[in-house]
Amino acid sequence: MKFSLSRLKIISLLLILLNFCYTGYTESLNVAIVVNKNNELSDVSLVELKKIFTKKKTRWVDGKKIFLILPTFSSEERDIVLSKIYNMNDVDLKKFWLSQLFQGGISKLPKQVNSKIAVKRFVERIPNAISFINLSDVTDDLKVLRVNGKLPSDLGYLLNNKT
Amino acid sequence: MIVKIKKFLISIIFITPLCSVFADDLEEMKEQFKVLMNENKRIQQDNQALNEQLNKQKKLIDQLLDKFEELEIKSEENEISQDVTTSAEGILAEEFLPNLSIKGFSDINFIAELEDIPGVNDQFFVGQFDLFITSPIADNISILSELIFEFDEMNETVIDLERFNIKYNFSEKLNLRAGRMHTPLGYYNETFHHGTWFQTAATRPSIHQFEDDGGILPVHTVGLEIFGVLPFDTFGLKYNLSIGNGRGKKVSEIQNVIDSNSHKSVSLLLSAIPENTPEFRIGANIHLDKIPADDAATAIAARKSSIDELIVGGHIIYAGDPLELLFEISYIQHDDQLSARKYETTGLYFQAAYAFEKIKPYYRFDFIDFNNSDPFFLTANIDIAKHTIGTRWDIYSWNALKLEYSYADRDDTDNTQTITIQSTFTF
Repeated sequence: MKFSLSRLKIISLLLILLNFCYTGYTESLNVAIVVNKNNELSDVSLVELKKIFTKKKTRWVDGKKIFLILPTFSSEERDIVLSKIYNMNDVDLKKFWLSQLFQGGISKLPKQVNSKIAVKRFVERIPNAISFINLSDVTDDLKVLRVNGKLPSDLGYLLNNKT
Repeated sequence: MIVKIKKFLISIIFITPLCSVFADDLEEMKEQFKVLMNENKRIQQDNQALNEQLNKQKKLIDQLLDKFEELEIKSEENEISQDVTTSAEGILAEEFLPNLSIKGFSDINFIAELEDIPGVNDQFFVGQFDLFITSPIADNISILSELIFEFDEMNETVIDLERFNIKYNFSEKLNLRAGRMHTPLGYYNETFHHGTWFQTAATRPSIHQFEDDGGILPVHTVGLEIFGVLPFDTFGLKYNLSIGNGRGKKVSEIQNVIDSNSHKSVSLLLSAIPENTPEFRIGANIHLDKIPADDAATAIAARKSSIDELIVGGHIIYAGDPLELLFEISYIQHDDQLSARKYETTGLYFQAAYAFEKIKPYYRFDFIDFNNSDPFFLTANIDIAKHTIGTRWDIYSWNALKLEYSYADRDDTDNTQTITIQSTFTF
């Protein structure tokens, strides 16, 4: 059956409209990379962030050891971090840590916590700490880093469920 | 006309009394209706009062539930805060206790030879039982050891301390390791140790076999190693520089406590890893050593002098997911100090694998070309060109099944076709 050009245009328009409706319907979720308020760092590239989160980079510019805190509870922000920073799923990440331990690349696994409150409290209390939380959970006691020059609320921010 | 009037008058006479009866009933019904209406009104008013009371109670219950939830959250927060405070204080005070961790790796295998080889039978065998033990003992110091229990050709249990070293981490650019470790001889030897669970294939590449499995490279070293990653604009340069006791008198000997000569082995490995594609690396390595003379009565004449050893290698690696491409080549030169003859051996492997979710088929080509006169390799020097195809199936997160077929074309001896089925796991 041949479609006429006008029918094709109508179908295309409908598909575009449906796409907009769907996109508009999905709630935006931004992942904030948070550090202690006393941390001098304010901007980090995605490449550097990957190194920090895979413990390839272990010290801040001032020479102090980076204390990586990883939430282990299921959440959409964790899914975004697994996808955008680690490019792995949960099981592959566990295998990655084990292989790093096995190769002598790390001497212990990163600190793992199982609640949002614990993430916030650790980052508040430990000067060298870094972790991630949902932007909506950020409080004044935490410092949010720019990633590739952008804050979580900026257009084009990489760590969200839209890009 | 008169008849009609008469009929009309008669009907009036009869209907009038009836009307009065109906009128009485109607009044009674009206009265009853009024009563019902009033009753209904009263019930409605009562209901309204009840509804208002119910609504008030519902609001109260909701408020109580909210309060309860708030108190629960506060209590949980306080508990977590206390735990976090205790942990954080410990971390801030740099309080450190050694924290021993033991992970196990092993594999169970079945091997079948499809060719009839005298003295070689199809068999089950237990692979290396690998206890991987680590313990950080300070913020930047850690201990690593790999204790292997395995069975030799006489079915006897052998215990090997394959790796045991202490590592000092100064920065990403500088680390120091001392003890027994894997010699920096390329990618595979740095990355894959004794746990088969980590590697894609069931077997190691022929060129990277362990010394006691007939391997020709000095896979293990006892000595010192400095290593790190030097950052540049678009790539990181990974380096490993080691100095160690070097080779023993035989291929399978690792000099753990006694160095048979005063010379030390030196190894340098360099790998360039692009920032944006850390799965890719390209690099080279060089290893220098002086193999001691073998003065044992059973040693052949050609081994009565020392041998200068030079190993040069290169690697191009893409270890990504789902695609894995590995290529390494090693050139070994032995300079016999007695005859002044040089012997050259070349070995390489190429491995390709692609993961489809939990299934990862792979192919590997192994090649070793010995100089058949090399006095150090006399017991091992059978040229080999081997094709291996297999599949790894990660049936569970920590258990994989591997099915492998290999065809080995060996010079001057029977070719072999081998099926290997392996269940490898970590625990």
